[in-house]
Amino acid sequence: MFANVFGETTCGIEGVKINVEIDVANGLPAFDIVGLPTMSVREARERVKSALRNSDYPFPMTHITVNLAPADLKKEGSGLDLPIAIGILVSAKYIGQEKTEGKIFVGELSLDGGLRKVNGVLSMIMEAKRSGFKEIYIPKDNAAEGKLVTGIDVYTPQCLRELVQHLQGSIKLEPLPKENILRNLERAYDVDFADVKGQPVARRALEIAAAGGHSILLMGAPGCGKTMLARRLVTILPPVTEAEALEITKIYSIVNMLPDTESVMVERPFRSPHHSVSASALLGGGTYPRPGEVTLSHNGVLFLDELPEFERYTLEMLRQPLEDGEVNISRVKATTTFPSRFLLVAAQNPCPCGFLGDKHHSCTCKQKDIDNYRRKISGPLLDRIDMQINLVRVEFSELESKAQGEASAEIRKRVVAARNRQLERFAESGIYCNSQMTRREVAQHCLLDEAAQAVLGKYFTALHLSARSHDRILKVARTIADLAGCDKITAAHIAEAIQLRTSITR
Amino acid sequence: MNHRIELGKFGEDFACSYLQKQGYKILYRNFRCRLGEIDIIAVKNDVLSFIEVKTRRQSNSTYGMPREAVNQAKQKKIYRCAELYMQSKGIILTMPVLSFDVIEIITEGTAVKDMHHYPHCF
Repeated sequence: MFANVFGETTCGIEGVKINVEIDVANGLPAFDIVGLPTMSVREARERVKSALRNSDYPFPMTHITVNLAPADLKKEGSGLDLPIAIGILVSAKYIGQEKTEGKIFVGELSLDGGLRKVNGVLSMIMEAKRSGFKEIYIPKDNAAEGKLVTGIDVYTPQCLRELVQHLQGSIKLEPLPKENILRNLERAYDVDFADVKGQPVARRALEIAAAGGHSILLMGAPGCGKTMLARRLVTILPPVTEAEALEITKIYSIVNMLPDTESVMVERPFRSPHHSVSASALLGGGTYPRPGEVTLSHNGVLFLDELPEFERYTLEMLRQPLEDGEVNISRVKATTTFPSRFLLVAAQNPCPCGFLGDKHHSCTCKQKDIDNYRRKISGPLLDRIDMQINLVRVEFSELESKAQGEASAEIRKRVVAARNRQLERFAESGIYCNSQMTRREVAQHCLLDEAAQAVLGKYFTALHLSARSHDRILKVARTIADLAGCDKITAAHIAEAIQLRTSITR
Repeated sequence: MNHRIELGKFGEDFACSYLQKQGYKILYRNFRCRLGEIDIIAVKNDVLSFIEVKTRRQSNSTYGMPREAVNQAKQKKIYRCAELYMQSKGIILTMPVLSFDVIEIITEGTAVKDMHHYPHCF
């Protein structure tokens, strides 16, 4: 008696269709699972056995062989419990083989036959749809993810028994209604740019960063507000688009970090790993690679406070994701590519004591210490940071003034307008903002008028800028022009971009 | 004799007569050694079979089928006993074709209700 049903597992952040073949043959009772199962899949044996018995279905006391194809892919997670149980019922003739055609089953079984939540369901549904399946059955706890994908019917049975009765035709389950995920995007933050006194340059730079997704380095004395500003960046970021929300949710679903109430990421993530972070925690890693901080901050913000305190080796790892927007993790057993288009915000002091260049404190560091401190961040890494600005100490008069800074909501309006211009421009190309432009797109979209050309030429030669700087300056200038609502980049836009990039002297 | 042994003996007798009807030649019954016991050793078509007989009353069916009781540990025991048997008879060097079988018998009252023979099962 042979049965064939389909399940799903994940590889990297993508779902993979698994063909679950089940053979129930005569012989002494045995239950073998072949096809590279990990420990959690192998343990399905005990769960499936108890779940079937406790749902009042017989567990055949014969020789059961389960094969998970493709055989060369490592199968992870407990989501294969359900297809195995259904397969056994099919081979025991409880359900006709034809009743499982065009359907995919995902779920972990509890011993009483209930269905438990599994990770990565969103990727699995997307993969099921891609492979042409019409129906997918997932645990009720994953329902929120099931509502996101249109074009495939998603069912959420409570327990094994309910699912079997549905397949037999004695009861009828209704597919989940589809839902627009971008509901209630207005979120109240407990911080606001209105709290920030002074720092006009930094405000402007962060506005540009938010509008175009540009990376930024804030340098300043202790207590001048670097961290305070960076934490408020999320409050002015444009709302996620549907495509971005799906990308983020996919990642968070795989690592089981979706917020319990939402189950969908409708906010841009803000990640601020401590400077003791290891290279593989930052980039992603493990025998079977899992996403790291750069991937968890995809379409959001990665904030590295006290940049020189990070291991130099770890920081250099950021080069590939910063340049390519994705990161390749190669291990002996698997190679995976994770997306990592994040907005990098880095903060640091100008020197170990923190007061280099301060008007009122004198720096107590030796030149050698300053050099060592600065040297921790390599030229190639700095070259990849679009804007590098100096923060000055806030004066007492500014601090005590009653005047509120501009509120986040106001800034956000301008950012959203600028971002919409970009989305319109890149509608065809699959990118979302200026910082993601490739060389060719830079040439196509960053058109300079004559005066701007002259300014760029002058400073490029005078400051000995690199070819990469050239493109990055153009991208930032493009965002400044977008904020101003201009189609062409003028001399003023270029000049501001150059200044924001080169205001820190090395 | 107590009940359990009596039941086992009954099952083994029944299995023997079944095997003989199937054309098996019984070589040995209850081969005992310090490693354990083999219920029946029989031969058919030059295949040497070591047969474990499990008998259970229908009324005890809540404990599972008799064949479920032949677990890994029991199987290993039978392997080693078989080795010892073949050594003692001097036939191990002739490398006979072997078969390890299980016969399960379910009784109701004094009658046999159900019987299954699983040849080559481990």
